[in-house]
Amino acid sequence: MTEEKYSLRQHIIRGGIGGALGLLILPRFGEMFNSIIIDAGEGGTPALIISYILCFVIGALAGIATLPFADTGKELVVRSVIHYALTALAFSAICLVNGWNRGRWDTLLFFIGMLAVFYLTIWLARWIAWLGEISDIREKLGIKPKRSPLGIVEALPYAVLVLLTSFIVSYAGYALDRTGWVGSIITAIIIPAGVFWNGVVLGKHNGFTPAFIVIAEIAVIVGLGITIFALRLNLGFGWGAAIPAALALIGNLAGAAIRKSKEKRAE
Amino acid sequence: MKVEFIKSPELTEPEITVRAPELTPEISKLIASLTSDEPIRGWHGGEVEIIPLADILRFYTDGKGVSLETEKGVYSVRERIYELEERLPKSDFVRISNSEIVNIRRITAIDLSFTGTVRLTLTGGRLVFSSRRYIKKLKEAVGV
Repeated sequence: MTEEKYSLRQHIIRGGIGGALGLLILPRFGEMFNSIIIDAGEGGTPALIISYILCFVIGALAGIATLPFADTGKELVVRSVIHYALTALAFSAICLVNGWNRGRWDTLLFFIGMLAVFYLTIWLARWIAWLGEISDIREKLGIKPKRSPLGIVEALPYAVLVLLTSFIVSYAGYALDRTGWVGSIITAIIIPAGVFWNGVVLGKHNGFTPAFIVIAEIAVIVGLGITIFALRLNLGFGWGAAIPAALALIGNLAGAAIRKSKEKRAE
Repeated sequence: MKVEFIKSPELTEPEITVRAPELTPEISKLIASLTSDEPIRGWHGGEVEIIPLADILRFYTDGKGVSLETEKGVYSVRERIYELEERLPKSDFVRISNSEIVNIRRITAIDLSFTGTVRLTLTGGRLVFSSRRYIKKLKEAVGV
């Protein structure tokens, strides 16, 4: 099978699955704004048909979302920008058709901005994975630069990813459920898991990095703080504020241990 | 590993015999390195020069043909890139793009751009670029 045919097949399969999931999930997503998709009428109105088509399109675009990030250089940038533009266009259309933006352009622009932050988060996660590979190659060739004090420079990209994830996840959680329990569960599970995993990956590539424990904690507080401010939530941090730092420490130590055991096996 | 040298004046050229209980990947690598480090012939101004592999920074195609670069200069090579890729020792040379093979031992720095392009600095400051597609080969070559 040629590369083009394989790529086309991947787009069709992923797009199809994503589209089907879009049809299942997005109408429920719309319920947080209003119920126009659910109750638009038994006979079907143009708005209803357009909404379902857009749900499929957005789902399909999400399904092929990892494919634009598969290349590098200028091609990566062009493909990612095109993918973002198409997704933003389809999302804007569904918002306008169903009144999700409540007739306000600034709300629509805010949604599109959030989508851009989401793209940035995905891109940063991939870039960090590449950086880990480069770090391993440098090490094998004996050209790894000297580590910065406490590993601040090494930990910084991971901390930015933690900040963006904390913001996106908490915002989506609390925006979907104003009563707060969905947001609380997401915040209590996904964000700590993300901090732990970032610590593991950082430890695997750079060993124990004390700076990460402090800046991961700051990143989570800032990320959650933006959500609390933006949604005007009446939430405090309390004793749970120490959890990110603890998980960053445990994750980082686990990653460093994996690294040591790998080194021993190589000897 | 036991290494032995036996002086044999009756031989016309050096002969190497590798004895081992079985052919392991390490032994195959050793044999490959012993058989394929033949120097490369480079043409420069109509004259041919024998260039040791260790001196070569990179091989590249520039539309006119294949060239090799050392710290002293650039030479033309008769082989094609894919032939060189097969012939050169895999532990020392790696293909980093459609048009370029670099000497791993001559890499002095590796940097990652924001778009995922990898920039390699070779001895003397020569900059070359690789894409994500070829990084897998570099990882295999250095044993990551």
